[in-house]
Amino acid sequence: MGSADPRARSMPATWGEAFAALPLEAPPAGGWDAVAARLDARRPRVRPPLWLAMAAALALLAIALPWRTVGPGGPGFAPPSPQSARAAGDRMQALYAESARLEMLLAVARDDRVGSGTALALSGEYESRLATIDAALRQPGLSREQCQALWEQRVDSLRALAGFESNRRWLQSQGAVYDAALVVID
Amino acid sequence: MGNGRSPQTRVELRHRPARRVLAKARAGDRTAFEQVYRRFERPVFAMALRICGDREEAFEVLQETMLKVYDRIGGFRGESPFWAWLRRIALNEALMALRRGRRLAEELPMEDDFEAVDEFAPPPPAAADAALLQRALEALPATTRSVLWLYHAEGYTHEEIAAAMHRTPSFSKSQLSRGTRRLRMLLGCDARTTAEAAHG
Repeated sequence: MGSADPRARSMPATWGEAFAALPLEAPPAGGWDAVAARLDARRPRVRPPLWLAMAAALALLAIALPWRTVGPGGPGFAPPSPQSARAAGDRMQALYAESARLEMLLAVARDDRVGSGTALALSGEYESRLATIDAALRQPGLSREQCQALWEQRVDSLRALAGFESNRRWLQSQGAVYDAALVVID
Repeated sequence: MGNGRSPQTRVELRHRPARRVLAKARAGDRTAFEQVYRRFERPVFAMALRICGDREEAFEVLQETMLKVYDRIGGFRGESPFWAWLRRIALNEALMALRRGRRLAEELPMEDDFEAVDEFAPPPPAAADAALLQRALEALPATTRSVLWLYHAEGYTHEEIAAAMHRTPSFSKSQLSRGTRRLRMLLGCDARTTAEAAHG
């Protein structure tokens, strides 16, 4: 007699059960030693994380602002005038929608198969900035104003990144590379 | 939090640190923090691995998570279970890793009129086979896999997933619907291939 199918013994009724039955994989050994070594290598920290994240995001945004003057997100983009400003809730909804639209645009515009190290590094810089803003957004206890300010930064950053990636694709289509465009003076 | 399933509660119960250990860790006691690390390294690594799909990257997420936990544990007030607090940090790190690797855009195309039928129907029998299920999950785009894992395994709601990923709840619902359908297909194909191989 053959043994019963082991799968039949514990057929999951839901996906949650099926996932929960997956083995809890063990991390590589030495994890704590590595963390302890990194803790030893640090200095005492005195700065508040939210402060740091917001300051870093603002500083990086300042670096990226020139892109807005040459990219698709530059002069053509008209922020809503004070007269047409909607309620804060509407503004947040508009930011969410704009963020989602730009993420989709980025997914289409981006092509990592080609690209110079400089362009990839700059693109990576934008990604790091977005990651920093995202980290700040996930901090608990943000006020509505802080949240909106961060979302504004996020959309600005996404717009700068989308502009950068679009320019890069356009330059590629013309047979040019981003690095050369950096030094062209008309 | 959640949608009725509670693996996170099981993790919380299984791995809940003793109050005195937590109190010592909050006070900066390195030995106590090591105990916290050892208690939670496995669930953190497992979740990071499901999201990132790469052991090396998941290990890095684990390290970064624990360093952040060390920095912030003094501010943990116990308003939520410790695992829920720690898991939020780990999820942020895992999603940041996806973004750095430019894999946050790896998702199945959105649908306007998806039906929430597939995700509530029982999984196919092949889902009971851990190896098949793991392989099928690995075949999904990173973001889609993350949505499935967060919803089904971690008990996140669509709103919570949307907030974590900076997308809309509709996005989460669509990924869940399409991802579950794709998972069924992959499990069906995989199970057939395995059966054929066994009998061939």
